[in-house]
Amino acid sequence: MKRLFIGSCPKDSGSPEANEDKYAFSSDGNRLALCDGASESFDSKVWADLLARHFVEDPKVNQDWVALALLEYNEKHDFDSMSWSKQAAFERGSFATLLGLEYFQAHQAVEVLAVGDSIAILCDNEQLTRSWSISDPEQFKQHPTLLSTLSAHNRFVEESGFWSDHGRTFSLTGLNRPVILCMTDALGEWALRQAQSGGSGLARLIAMESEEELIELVLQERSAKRMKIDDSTLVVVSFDTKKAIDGIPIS
Amino acid sequence: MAYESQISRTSPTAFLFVVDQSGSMSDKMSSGKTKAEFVADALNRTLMNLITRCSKSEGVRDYFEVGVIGYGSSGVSNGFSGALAAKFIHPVSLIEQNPVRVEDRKRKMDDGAGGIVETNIKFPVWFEPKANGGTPMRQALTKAAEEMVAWCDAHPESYPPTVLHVTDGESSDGDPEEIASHLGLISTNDGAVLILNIHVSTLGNAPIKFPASETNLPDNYAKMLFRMSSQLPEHLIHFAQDKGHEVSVESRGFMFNAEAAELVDFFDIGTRASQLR
Repeated sequence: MKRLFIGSCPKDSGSPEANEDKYAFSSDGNRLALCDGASESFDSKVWADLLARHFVEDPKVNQDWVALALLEYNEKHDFDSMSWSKQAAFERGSFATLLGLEYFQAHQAVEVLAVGDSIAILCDNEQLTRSWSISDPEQFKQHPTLLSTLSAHNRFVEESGFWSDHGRTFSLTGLNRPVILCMTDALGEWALRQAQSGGSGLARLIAMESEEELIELVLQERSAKRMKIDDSTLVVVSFDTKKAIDGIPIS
Repeated sequence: MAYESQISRTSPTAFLFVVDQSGSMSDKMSSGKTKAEFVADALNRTLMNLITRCSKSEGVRDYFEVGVIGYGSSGVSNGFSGALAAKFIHPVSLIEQNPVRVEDRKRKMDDGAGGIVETNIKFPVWFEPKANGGTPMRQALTKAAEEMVAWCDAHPESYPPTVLHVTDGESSDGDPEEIASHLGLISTNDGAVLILNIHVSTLGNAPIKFPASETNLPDNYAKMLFRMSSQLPEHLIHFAQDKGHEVSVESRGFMFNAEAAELVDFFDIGTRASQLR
């Protein structure tokens, strides 16, 4: 999995430090995670960062996995020393999406886990091939299920259908120039609308060369009211499909 | 499209509570509390919830500005006191720092194993119950209109302010409908001020929630409050529906004969302005 582009445009250009989108890559380059911390959360920036880092270290998301992330989150906060409003906000919880990718080169496949409305779009030759977990931009209007720092909200992870509900495998077999675009919701919704209307949005995102270029695009689309104002992050990765199972190039 | 502006620190919205503090607010509700006590409690809880929604690990973000106008024996007065008494409307960060006191209260919660545990929570208090004198509703709505004009002038691009008016009786200083209609003409570029009215009662009659017409309302007073109320914007309709209320596109932000539970719901729905960012 090769990183082609990573960039983010904060919702508030005057406060880039408040950007609550976080991403992480594993050291072997086979896993990546993108998490979008919810605005109405006590410390979703830290929660999103923890989820992304935990996923690239261990992609087997289950109740124990969430509990471990939660333990680390709680260790970072001293409840007793907080003001009344921080205590109340802490108890209200932090929420974030989790979009995790794991590449299996031998099988020419990518496992995609998506909790919430951060999406992965598989493109081949700049055309949308598949999208997960949202394929219809209208679905962004629904309330997404998010991972929370309140255990009671994470019971869906224990359910037997968790992986079938939230995970999909993208096969790269037979694709010519596959890339996957990982996006948080505002950008993802815009990209799907572009794909739906035959616009050049996906090609622009795939060809993105600098964060400045992404910021320019996002600001322009926001001012035209075609993109929701939110932290907007794009990660683009490509895959070398011309390698055989043993890693030797086919041609 | 109106009521679509996203709410941010640079583009906040405002909530102005207008609270009847006339003598009849000392009547007791089914909980044993007076109407004034229950309204004060619900208002303090709503303020706490608004501040909590804006509280992040690094501090309170000023997504909202909030004011409280009380009206009763002393005419119209600021519901806030102390450091907040100088102005009617304040950003939430300032309100967070200046409660009159912070009480320790007990709360029963699920212990996760089928049992109930009691925990302590901090409960800030800004607004005290008061109940005496007449009902100068016209004067109170005039003050609300003055505040809203100034606020909208200062925040032309913001999601429009919401006025949440709580009353239990008829105006004692003339017809308030005319003032309410003026209030409803004040606007930002994102829409007109939303006026939501709730009539609280201890009579035990079935409450009428978010009516879509005045046809089935019991009397002229209820019909007047209905006409004084704004139609709910789309996102508030969805929010009210999510809370189990029967609400249509014609529904107005109005409840009649409300008891305790309806008041809490009404404040919750009325303060769900559009998306925060």
